[in-house]
Formats: sequence, C-alpha cells, structure tokens
Amino acid sequence: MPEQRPTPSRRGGRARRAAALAGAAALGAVLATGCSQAAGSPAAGGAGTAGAAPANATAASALPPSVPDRIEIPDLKVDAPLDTVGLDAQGVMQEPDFAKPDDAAWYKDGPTPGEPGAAAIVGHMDTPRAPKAVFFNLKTLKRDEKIEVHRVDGTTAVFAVDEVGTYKKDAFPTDKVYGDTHGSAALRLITCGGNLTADRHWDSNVVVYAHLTGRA
Amino acid sequence: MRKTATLAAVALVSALALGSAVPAFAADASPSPAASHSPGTDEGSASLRLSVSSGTPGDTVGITVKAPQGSTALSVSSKALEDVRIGPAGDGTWTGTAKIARVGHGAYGVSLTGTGPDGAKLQAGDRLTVKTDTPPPAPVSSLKLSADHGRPGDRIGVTVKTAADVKSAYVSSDAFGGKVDLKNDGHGTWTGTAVVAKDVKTGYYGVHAFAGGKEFDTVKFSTQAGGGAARDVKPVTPLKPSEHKKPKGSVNTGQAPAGSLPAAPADHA
Repeated sequence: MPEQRPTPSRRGGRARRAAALAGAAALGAVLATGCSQAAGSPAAGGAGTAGAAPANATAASALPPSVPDRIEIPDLKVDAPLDTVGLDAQGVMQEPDFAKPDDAAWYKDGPTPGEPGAAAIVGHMDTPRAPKAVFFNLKTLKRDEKIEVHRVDGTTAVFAVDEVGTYKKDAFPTDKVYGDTHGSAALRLITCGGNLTADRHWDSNVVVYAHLTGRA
Repeated sequence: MRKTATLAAVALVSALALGSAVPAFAADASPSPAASHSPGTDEGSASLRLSVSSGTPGDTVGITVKAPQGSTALSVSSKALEDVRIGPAGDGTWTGTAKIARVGHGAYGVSLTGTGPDGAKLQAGDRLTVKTDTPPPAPVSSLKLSADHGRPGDRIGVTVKTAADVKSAYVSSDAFGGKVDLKNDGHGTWTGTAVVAKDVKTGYYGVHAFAGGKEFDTVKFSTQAGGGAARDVKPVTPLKPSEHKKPKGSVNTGQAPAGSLPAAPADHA
C-alpha cells in the first residue's frame, strides 16, 4: 500500500474551495494556531493564502442533515473518501472495511456531520496489509486543528478539535463519545491506539472530539 | 524436593534435641541377633508403613519401619515428605513422623532403603496420595495458524498440539467455511490446511479449536473480501434524530501487519 494516497481528482475543487474559506472571524481564530503543514497543504497553497482562514466560511452552530462523502484533515494530510458503517448484531459499531485502509467511514445510524448531535467517523490505524492506514496519525491532532467534512449537498462542515482521548476498549466511555451534545453539532473521529495485544490488535481506541465552527 | 532421613542421623539429632540418650542408632551398627540374611537385596525382611494413605501438604504422617535388628543406613525418602524424624522403638521397629511436603496433587512413592546386619540391601515401600485444592493441571492444548489474516482462497496452515492420548482435534470457523479436519502424527501434533472461504466478508472471524470433542481455544482471524467488495451499496440517507442509535462500546479499527513492530505516529507539530 502506498503510504501517501494519490490525490483524488475531485480533491482539487474542494481543496480550492476550502482554501478560499479564509476570513470568517470565528474560524480565523481557530486556524490562527497555524500548523506547520497547513502552509504546505494543497488546501492552503492552492489559493496562495498559506495559513489564512477560508474566505467564504460562515460561522455555523448546526447544519441541515446531509450524508458526508469525504473528510480532510489538513494537518495530517488526510483526504479520504467516506464509506459507511452501521451496527453489528450485538449493537457494536462495525469496523471499517479492511480492504479499504485509506478510506474512513461515517457511522450512518447517527447524525450526519454538521447536524446537532455527535457524528462519528471511524478509520483504521493500520491493517494486516497497510502499516499506516487513514487514521494512523490521528492521535497527534491538537486542540483547534481543523477537520473538514464534505457533504453531498455541496457544503463542507468545518470542525475544530477540542481534545483527543485514548481509552481502553473495555473501558470505552460510550456516553461521552456518542452521548447527548445538548443540541450542538459535534464530531468524533475514532481509530485504534494504545498497546498491541497478543493477536496484534490494539487494546484501546483513540477518540478525537471536535465541534462545528462553520460551513463552507 | 526429595527428603531423605537416614535413621542413625535422625536418632542422633533427636537425642541431642531431647537431651536424652537414644541408644538405638548406636546399636544400629551392632549386629542384630535376629539378623540372618544372605548378601543381596532383601525386601522380605523390611517393611515400611505409613499411618495414612493420603493427606494434604503440612499434614503429619506417622512412619513405622520394621527391619532386622542391627540394620544400618536405614533411609526413608519421598518427594512428598519433609522433616522426616524416626527413632528406634525396639524389637526391630523404628517409628517416627514426617510432614507432607508442598507438592502437587497426586500419588507418590515412599521408599525405605538400608543395609541389613549381614550386608544385604533392604528395600520396602509404601504409597502416599497428596491432595491439594488445585486439581492436577489439564494437558495444555495449543492452536497455531500460519497467518492470522487472509483473502478468499488463501491456504492457512493449522497446527494443534494436544496430549498424546487425545483422540480427535479439529478447528471450525466461518472464515474457512466450517470444520477443518486435522491429521495426527501420533504424538499429539495435529496439522491441516484451511482455505479461506470464497464468500467470506471483510472483517474478523473466530477460529475455534477443539480437542477430544471440547473447545479449548479461539483465536481471531481477519479477512479481506475479494475485490474489496462494497459492503453497503444502497443509497444512504440521513436518519431522523429519533432513529439514531447509540453504538455499544469500542470499535475495531486496526490490526498490525504480521512480523512488524508498530511504529509510533510522529508528532506533526
């Protein structure tokens, strides 16, 4: 598996659009943290506004429901298509498709990213055939770093990271991750982490908590 | 662990401990008027008897030895006994005690050896069953797969090791389309080849291992469906909030490649 995914052809348009989001005051404060890789990312560089906030972003506290189809995390150089996952027979979230280690997956039995509630997107950290899968670096995200979720209605829900937690799988804080957000639009990115078990699985989940800051 | 008491030495220790004279073992070296044995092993003229046939570690066991007077180098030994103390009781009889040692559950031999007054070797024995709270460990069986992941059609080597007397062993998994029979080498090693099922879906499967008709282990086996088949081709529409479902607990989102140590994600800032 290639360690850096080829950039999908559709990415250019979205990237330029994301780059053009500079200026929204609320978002500007978020992006002012300025991650080093943001300047070099296609999203920022395409419009010649490295480090600037998207120009046409508007602050938003919630968006109408719309199915997501792509996620971008500029600071991690993640730009991935979104599949979907549901629940298995035991009510546990299905694992993302092992055959698509570079894809992430939206949990389709929950809110869409941007609408009120805790939307969840999961992705592999690694697979038997992919040492570095789509969310390999997820746990290195930092507060206020940006996550963009593109949706089929043409909008992009922009989120800012609040915190990153790592939890043993047998002590997973279900309510904190998936529970009531009291009307706010939240996003959870989930992958594996912690320590390897004897069968080379991971004993923990890494959870990124983020809140909606705007739309583009 | 084996504890041995040479009776003469025990008698001397006992005499010193008690502050009294114990003549018996000084007398051991002297000829016994009753002894009349030809050189060689003489099992018939010596006997060893324990006061109990079973006990638990720490229990005291009474010991009675009968041997020709004048016998020497009498020794009571057993892996199951410790702190053996014996003294002469006269008339060719020695009595004493020992404690049952902290050994595993099971039956142990207790042996008496020595030399008769005529130079003949003396031997006798008894049995002691030690009972412990923990049952004897069951024979350990193990399961090993040549790979813990595969695609449809992949051949996976299966090795099961059992006790030699186990009559059957096999594995079963939906990843392999059901039961996979194994062949025995006659020494408790069972081998076979499983083939990843054509209709397997991407995900985790359990591989269940059976020996002697009982399941003894389950291991995970991850699969990748052929061609990366999409699992959900139906158009997805957002659910109403009232239809949202909260997942239970954690989610599996990783498995490290075989034979490689995990690399720590680098800090990007």
